[in-house]
Amino acid sequence: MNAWESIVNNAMLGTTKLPLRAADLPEAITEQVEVSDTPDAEEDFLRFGSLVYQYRQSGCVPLNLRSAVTSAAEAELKPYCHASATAVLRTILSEEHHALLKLWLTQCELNHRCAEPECVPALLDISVSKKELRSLILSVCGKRGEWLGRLNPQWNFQASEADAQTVWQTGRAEERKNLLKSLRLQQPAAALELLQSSWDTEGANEKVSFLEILTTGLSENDLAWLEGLKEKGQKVNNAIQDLIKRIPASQPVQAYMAILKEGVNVKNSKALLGMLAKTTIEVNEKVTFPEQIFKSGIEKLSSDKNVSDAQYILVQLIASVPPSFWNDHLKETPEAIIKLFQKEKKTALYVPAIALAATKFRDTVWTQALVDHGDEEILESALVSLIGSLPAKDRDRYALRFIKQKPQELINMLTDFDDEWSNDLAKAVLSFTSQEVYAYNKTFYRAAVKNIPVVMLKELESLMPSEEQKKAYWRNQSAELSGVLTLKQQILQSFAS
Amino acid sequence: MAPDDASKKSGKELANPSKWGKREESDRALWGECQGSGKLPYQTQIDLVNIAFKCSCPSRKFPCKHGLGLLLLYARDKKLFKTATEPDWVVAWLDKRNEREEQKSEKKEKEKKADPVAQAKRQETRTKRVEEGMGELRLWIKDIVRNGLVSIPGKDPGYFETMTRRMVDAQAPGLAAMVRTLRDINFQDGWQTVFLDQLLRIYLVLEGFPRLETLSPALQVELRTQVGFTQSLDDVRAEAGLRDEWFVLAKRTTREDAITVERNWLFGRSSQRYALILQFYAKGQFPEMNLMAGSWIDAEVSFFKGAYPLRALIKQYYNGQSNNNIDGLKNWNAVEQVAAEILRVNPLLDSVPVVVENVIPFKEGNRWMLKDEEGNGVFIPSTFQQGWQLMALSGGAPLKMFAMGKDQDFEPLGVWVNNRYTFFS
Repeated sequence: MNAWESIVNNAMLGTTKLPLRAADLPEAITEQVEVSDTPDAEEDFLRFGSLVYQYRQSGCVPLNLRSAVTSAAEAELKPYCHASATAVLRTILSEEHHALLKLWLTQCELNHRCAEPECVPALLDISVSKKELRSLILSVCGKRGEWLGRLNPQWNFQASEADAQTVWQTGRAEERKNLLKSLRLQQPAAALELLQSSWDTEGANEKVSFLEILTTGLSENDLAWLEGLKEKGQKVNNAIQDLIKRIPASQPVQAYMAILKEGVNVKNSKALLGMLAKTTIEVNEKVTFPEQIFKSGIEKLSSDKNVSDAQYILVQLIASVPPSFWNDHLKETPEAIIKLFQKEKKTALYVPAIALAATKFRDTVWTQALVDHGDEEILESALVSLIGSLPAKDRDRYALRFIKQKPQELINMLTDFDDEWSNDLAKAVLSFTSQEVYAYNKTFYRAAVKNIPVVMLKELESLMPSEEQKKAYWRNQSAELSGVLTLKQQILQSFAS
Repeated sequence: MAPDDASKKSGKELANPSKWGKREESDRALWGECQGSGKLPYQTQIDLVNIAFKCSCPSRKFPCKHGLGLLLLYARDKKLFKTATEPDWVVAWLDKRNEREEQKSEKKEKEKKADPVAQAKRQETRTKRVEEGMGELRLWIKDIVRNGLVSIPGKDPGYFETMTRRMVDAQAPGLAAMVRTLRDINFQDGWQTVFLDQLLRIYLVLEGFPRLETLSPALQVELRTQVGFTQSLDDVRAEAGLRDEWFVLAKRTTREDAITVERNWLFGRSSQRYALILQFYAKGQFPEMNLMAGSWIDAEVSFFKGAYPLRALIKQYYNGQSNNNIDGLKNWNAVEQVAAEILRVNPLLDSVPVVVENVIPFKEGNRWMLKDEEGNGVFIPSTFQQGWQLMALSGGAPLKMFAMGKDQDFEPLGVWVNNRYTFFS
């Protein structure tokens, strides 16, 4: 024990319990110590202690760290981003603009750049909680990020990913779900294999949540396994049936198609004393419904007195087959088929079921046809979900067309996506939100900045609400929007330069 | 330097070339025109020699968002600014500023000195009060020593507050600050040494003060300063100055009661001296100077007297620009030797400023450390929060670093990476 440690020990216990004596001091300074005639343990401690304090700090040597092993990061393969991009990133990080962070990362990645080292720890911290940004962050953090990940267990995602089997076997429910989700997105077959490996040992709730994940990338390849499952629980069985019924080649869907082929057909007849040809949809409500369809989840009894049981069963069947079935069966275009169904009230009731099927099977041709040619009832009940299931460009076009009819619902749906809106759509959205200052606040604009194009900066002044009491709110909100749009502009400019 | 968060945010928004119709600079100033809500654009100007702002906008905030935006834009990309002849409105402002500075110093010179007899009497009374206070402080630290430090982490802050207030009453604000430091110690690993060091520094002041006459003049001033006898700014300013190109190594602000204390560390390229520029300001007030860490200033500074003078004030700014390299000490052995010499001269210093070359940060267990090329090193105090950022900047490669500390504990305050300086605030 060196002299200073001894002094600290004495100090900790106090002079009452452990007085410090001149003999305890290092030999080199004992000559300097004058022994007092009047013993005072505290005074002695302070005198001796201050001497050792000065002795210590006059001859301190550094630590011997020769055995300490250090490592160095590999050289970056991509150049660092421009200083102006780093400056914007610093602002985004300090002000927590999450919506813009994704844009910055995407731009950095697109321009084959990497983030400056000073920002890497903050980005890696974010990647811990925001898993959806993790792969982008890891990419822009480059070799420096990889190296830091090896040193800091919290950032060591590679190790956890490399050991997927361990996570699957021993991880927490959320970790296992995330693993399956990301694997399903990249390698659907591998994800299925992983789930099969432990299926028999999983609990009912886990099975249901894992089956939900399989909706992504679902294909005929999954069918054999799904159809072969024998489960006792109703919840799990329902989830299995739901998946099976999303695969057009599955037995239930094929069975539904067979019934519909028999029960729904085009009927050509004559009208006006045979002078005009009349084409309608004929629905045979007396068609036989095999018992097996009811075991696959189709309900027998209607709860609506205006809808017969047969109609109700047919509605369910139509909602469960891909809309493209009708093209093959009725040999008509989607537009013609929709119009035929809508021709008569008794057949129009099946159109919402086709809309449900179009969304479920993500059939964009039918979705567009339904939005273009659907009647008011369809637009009222299924417009937002139909538009929401379209690809970005079409979604934008249709949202613009219907924004005045269903502004709130469409804006809610549109902000769920990351795509930037067209100028016209953005202007239409802002024209609405700027009037609804109480419903659309700063938080809304901070999140929606990802969708709003930078050119809208020029439009903000013209969007002032007409009602006097709303003006101050809008000034505040447009200042916030202007701030985040300026940041967005700076991101784009900094990567363009 | 932004007066509030809103100004900071607005300033950042204005750090955009498209917002500025004109962006120009000269050796001593920076100016631009920004279109606001008025008919004419706002004229914004910044004194680059002694950072100051002026803007024609009606904002009552200082600096306003236009000043902040213009300076931020300049900091981000100097190439956006065209070198031009200063327009009349810039020349007029800068000349007026220089004139005001001169008038200020003339006025101070004219101020009459206080009556020497009355002054001596006041000093005598104060010294008596200080000595009485010191007696009480001595008893207080002896109590601590008698009972042991083991109970210290559990003490109520009031335990230290009472003695701090007593020292303020005794007109020994320096000692009050030393006691307050005991209160603020972070009770993490190794706190015992930090606490005991400070306790023994207080004891050294208590022991040294009654023996002032036996000590060297420099140590006498040092001890008087530690007790709280201030040196007049005018006296310090009257001392011979040291003109040098100074690199601003660090800027740290802390709140002490209602006062913000700003500590700026400077390093002189030719003199190889460190200077600590302190600024104090209350809420709503702004510091007299804006020193920016990582920048060079050409200035004459005067040092406060002391055993190893570090505290200084800036007497005069000049227009010279510099972008020189700073050479640091070559390894931790050299640092320890320099630190030992400084502490021999002034044993009361709690940390020593050093620039050291080629150190590699790394983490072993829970401790961050700094190793030099010879394999010697020091600990980074556990209070340092930016360990991973330091690590990211280094990438495992040796760095030149500005650090403060002594013994085997040094805290990084800034590093140079590819000749670019990053500081830890």
